[in-house]
Amino acid sequence: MSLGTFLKSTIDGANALRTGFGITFRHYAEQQLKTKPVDTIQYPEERREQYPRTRWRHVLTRYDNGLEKCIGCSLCAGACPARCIYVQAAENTDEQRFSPGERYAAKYEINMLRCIFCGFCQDACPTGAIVLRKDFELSDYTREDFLYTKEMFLEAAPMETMIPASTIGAMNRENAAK
Amino acid sequence: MAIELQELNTNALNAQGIQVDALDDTTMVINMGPQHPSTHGVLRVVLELDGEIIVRATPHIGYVHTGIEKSMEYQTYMKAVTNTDRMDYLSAHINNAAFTLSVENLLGIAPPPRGQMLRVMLMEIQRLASHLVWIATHCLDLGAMTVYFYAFQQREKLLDLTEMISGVRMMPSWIVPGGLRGDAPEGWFERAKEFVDNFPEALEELENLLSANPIFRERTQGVGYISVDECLGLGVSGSTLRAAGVDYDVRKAKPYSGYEQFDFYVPLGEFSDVYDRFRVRMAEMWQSREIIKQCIEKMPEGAINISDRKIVPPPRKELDNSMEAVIHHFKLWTEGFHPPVGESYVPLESPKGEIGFYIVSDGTNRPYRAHMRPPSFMNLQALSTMCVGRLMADVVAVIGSIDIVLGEIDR
Amino acid sequence: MSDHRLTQTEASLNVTGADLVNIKVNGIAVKVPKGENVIEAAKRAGVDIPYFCYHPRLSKGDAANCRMCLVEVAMPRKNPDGTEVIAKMPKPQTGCTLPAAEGMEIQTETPAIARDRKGVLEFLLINHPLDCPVCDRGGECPLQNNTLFYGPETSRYIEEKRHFPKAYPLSEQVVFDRERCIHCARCTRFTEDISGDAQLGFLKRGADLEVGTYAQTSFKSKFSGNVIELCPVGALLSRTYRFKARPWDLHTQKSICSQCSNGCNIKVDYRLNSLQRINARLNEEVNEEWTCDRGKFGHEYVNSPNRLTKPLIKKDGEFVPVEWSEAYRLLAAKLKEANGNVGGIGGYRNTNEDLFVFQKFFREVLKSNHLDSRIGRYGDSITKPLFERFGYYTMGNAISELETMKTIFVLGASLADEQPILFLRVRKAWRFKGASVIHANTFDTVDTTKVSDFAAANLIYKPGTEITLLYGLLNLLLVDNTNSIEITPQMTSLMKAAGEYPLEKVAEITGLDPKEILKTAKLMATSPTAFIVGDTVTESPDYLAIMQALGDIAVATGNEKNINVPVREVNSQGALELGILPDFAPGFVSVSDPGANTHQMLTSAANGTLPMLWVLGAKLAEKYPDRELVQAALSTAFVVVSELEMTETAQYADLILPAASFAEKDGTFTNCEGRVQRIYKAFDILGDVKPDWLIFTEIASQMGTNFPYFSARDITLDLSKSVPSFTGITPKSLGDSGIRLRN
Repeated sequence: MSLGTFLKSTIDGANALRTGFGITFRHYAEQQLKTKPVDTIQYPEERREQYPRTRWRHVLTRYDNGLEKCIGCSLCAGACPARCIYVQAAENTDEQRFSPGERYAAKYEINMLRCIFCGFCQDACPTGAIVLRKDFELSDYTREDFLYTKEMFLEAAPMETMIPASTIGAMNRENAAK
Repeated sequence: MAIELQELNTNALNAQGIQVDALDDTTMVINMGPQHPSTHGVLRVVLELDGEIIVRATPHIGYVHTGIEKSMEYQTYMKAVTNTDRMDYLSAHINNAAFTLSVENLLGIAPPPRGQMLRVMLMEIQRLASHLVWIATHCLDLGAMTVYFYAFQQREKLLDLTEMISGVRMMPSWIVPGGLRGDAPEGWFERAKEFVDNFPEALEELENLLSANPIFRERTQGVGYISVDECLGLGVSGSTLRAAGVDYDVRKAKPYSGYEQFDFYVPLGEFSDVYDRFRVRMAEMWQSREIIKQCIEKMPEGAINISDRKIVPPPRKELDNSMEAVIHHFKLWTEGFHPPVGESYVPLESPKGEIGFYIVSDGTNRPYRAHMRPPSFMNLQALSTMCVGRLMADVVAVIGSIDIVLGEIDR
Repeated sequence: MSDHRLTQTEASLNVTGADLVNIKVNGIAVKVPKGENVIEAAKRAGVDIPYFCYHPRLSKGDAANCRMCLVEVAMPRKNPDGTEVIAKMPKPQTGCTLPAAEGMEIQTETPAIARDRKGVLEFLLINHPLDCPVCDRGGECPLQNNTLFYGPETSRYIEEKRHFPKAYPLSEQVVFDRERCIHCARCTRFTEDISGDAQLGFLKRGADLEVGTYAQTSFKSKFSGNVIELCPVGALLSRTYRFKARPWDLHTQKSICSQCSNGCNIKVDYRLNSLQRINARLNEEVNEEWTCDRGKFGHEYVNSPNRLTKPLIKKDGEFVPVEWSEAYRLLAAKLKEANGNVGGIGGYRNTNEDLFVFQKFFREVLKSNHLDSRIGRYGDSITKPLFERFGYYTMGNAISELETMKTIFVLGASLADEQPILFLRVRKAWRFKGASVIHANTFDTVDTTKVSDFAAANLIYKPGTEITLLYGLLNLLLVDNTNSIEITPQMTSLMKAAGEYPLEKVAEITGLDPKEILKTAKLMATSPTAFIVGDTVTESPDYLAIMQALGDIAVATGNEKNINVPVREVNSQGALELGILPDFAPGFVSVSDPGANTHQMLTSAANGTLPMLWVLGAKLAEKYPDRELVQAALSTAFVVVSELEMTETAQYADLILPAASFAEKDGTFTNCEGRVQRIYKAFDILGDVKPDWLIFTEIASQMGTNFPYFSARDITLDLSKSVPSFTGITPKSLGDSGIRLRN
């Protein structure tokens, strides 16, 4: 290696290093002087933005009158690629009414360890009962605790769930008429 | 004592099907991985060393084999899309698209222009995200930690875009047969525009940090050479192949999803070494940004899904009053559509190389066979060729440069 | 996922004539039997034509009303000038009513047909409620399937749909949703053609048309469950299965119904470890594709909350759950104490495998021949009435052979109750094959499903006069020879015996109209005639004499091989074949020192000479005629009961062993015609139950004898080696339809 090339490569190297360190230093300065927004978030004190479509923990929603939207049709279980949903339906009576129509989910369980949060259940749900919402902190200590039951999924009732049969929608007019 | 150990070691390796020369005490066999941080997952490379020179490098795979292809045979075509996310988990959109395009080819359908372009946009966003992970981890392996933070900072913005449209960051399953599961939400294009505008600055920073850096150049230039013939012989594709100077990019060679309407070029290397692969991928990032920019500008109005209700479930609002819609919704979500008997393969350009799904349909609602052409798997075969005769420290650089994801290799 | 088709019947069933014609289906040339309808003919060419109302086993009475099977047809026609052209019919034809003819060309996939199908489905869906998500049929619904494949994609109908009360309880088992009905008439035709009670029919007309029972009464039928499977929509649904599961939740296992001896082939649909429903499985030789209600709805005991899940030992009058090891210790000690003086009763509800090990354990380990599976009144040697005279035991005919009979004489049986599948065959012989049926019994049931409905002669005789009636008939046949039967010299003694029963005397004693008896005798002279004997006779004290008289008639008319005395419980036949009898080892091999029969065992247990009884699933306390004797016997002896549930008999036990039900074990059952059929294990219930063969194998090894059995399959294979009548019966050779013994 001639002296010329040696010098040239040394100087080039030094220049490149200077550029690199310059960038790093600029970032450091920006962080310290807070001239640019900081991308790091101090979780759990700070939370990042979550979007309306965020697919995390499932929720079973209700109608405004307090009836459950879920009719226990099991379509979510049929659409689930991980086969983690277990639905057992039962029949509504006028004394014990959970949802409009004849059928409601007596048991609704999801094995959250198997769930892959693909959201097919909310796409398949014909009444829009099961939705995936933003609660993503789902860690727990034992496997059994990941077997979420219907009570855990169900939204809090906005009002008393037992409502007079006369206010039931068209879908069940006949039972209501009895 | 040492010889006995060597013999034991040799026997053990031979029993596993790894060829090492018995009782040859001139070479030494060491294991790299599967828990080595620079092997990007759980790759195990068995290295045979003569001093510090590599005589043989045998990649050992299968540590994260999960039988994904087999599971897909038991899912309807719609549900099988979720399995593809988990193969190359850094480019989920492109995996989804690879499966979807193959199924759509079976069905003989193609989504409307907006659906096509939205797919292209998501795929390019995914390509950028994947390349950013590559540059971050590759440089981390070579000792440059700063790049990691700057690259992930940018990737975060891309994942935000994915999350905005699909609801999750990495496993969206958003591209499905017939189109997409949903249109872009309000404000999404603005966010994408903002990213496109700010990205060059960040990309330049990354280039400035690395391309002239003497340490980086020492570690990469002239390292991991592979000839064009060997590339072609081993089925290498993607940036590794283009770094060898072969002009093969599926987006240009066999355009899909309307790639022909975009103005971009295919960057090529000339020395086929680790540094050239770095140059090619950096240039590809510029091109991807270019495509995203064109997508935002050209995005047509209209539907994103095909109108055939025998494949795509009807819109939700019809479920309240149409018996036909209720039946189709019910059947498509539980039983799914039945493609005609046949087989199909559609190649795509993934960040790693040529990806594609070979699907055989027997006319039922589930694939009879679904097989992926995994680019990482093919490219990994070139590892031995690239490493032999080099120093052991170069293995890390080479593994980084071929950009593998073990989830895709093992499936 | 349980598969559902509109019929399980194969194409070959509907062959009407032997001569073949050449037709073309979508250009594919096939040869099909002349007169076969186009749906079946197209199936032979591999072309599926969609339909709702058509069913190969139902008559075409109201058929072709769904209009789904429309096809385009062209027929060769001669022009006036003699040239032949293929002329297309101007309008599409219904495939289910169109017979195949020479040169016919059928098109099923033309644009016009596709449009017609869309139109048909659009009309069907106009009034169909938006119930799929709550309907039990959803997921296995032919209407859904046909809509997905052939139907329109969007609705044009925006008006109000018709409304009826939902979930109207049609009967104990069937719930009816009138809104969903598409008026295919499958259920109405079923009750008319197959079950024969004609309970369902169409009421009103036009847009108000609806299915119902005529007087709006409850739907009473012994076969009502079949209409649930026949219904192509979710209009007729099971009340027990209501809202229980979805097809994709279910796994299906092949099995055999455990409710009676007919051995219906069924599909057990289960979810996790509970049985959800029973569906019929095709077996042309046995049940075709039907089940009776007892079979379809009577299997709730499998998942009953009363199922025993642990061995129970009675301590101070109370049952204490224990581990199997403790139960075995007690059992082994007691068996050693009894020293071979042990009686085994029951087994008629166990598999052949259980029974084989049961008798092997008793005969080889305990050296006891005190075994009996019969708990009815008749406890004598079973060889006497039939075997010694004709060489067979219970049924001379196969179930499917009944179809070929000219006359069927049903004596003393409420056939629909006792042998539901035999009843369906008898009715099929009458309705579709032109057989005459004679019904003779001491009473006629008030049920809607009964033989007397279609019997050519209906003899309701006074109780206890069977012998008089039979000899009276013999007298008419031979002495009066109303039908000029050829009298052979061997028959002279018969004629002499019959001569003592002139018609007037018989009519007076039996209380029957002489004309009716004459008519019967006339019908009986036609050959072949099959005799089916039921409970009134087998429970009669004169059983032997009646069988003697019946045998005389059979000999006189040349029907020696056509006497059928079908057993009642699921594996009663198997218990006979496998020697759960005091005087026979498996394969009806006589034993040198016969043991005691059920009555003798109970008597000696009651007076303390038989210290130990093992009751294998027999409902002694509930069913044995002499209730006091049973109570005395069971409270005196040390009683081991193998049972599924806590029955009345089990209450008397000192040790209860929880057994596996038919859904929880592998094995084979032998039905009343001697057909050995396989059952498959479907699931495990939660609990510590064991199949009976395993219990016997384990206790035998506790007693020092090791049986080489590790699975039911080992026993089946051993059976085929060591029991002559079971030669060639292996799990593999049984296949789906089973093998009839001695055939």
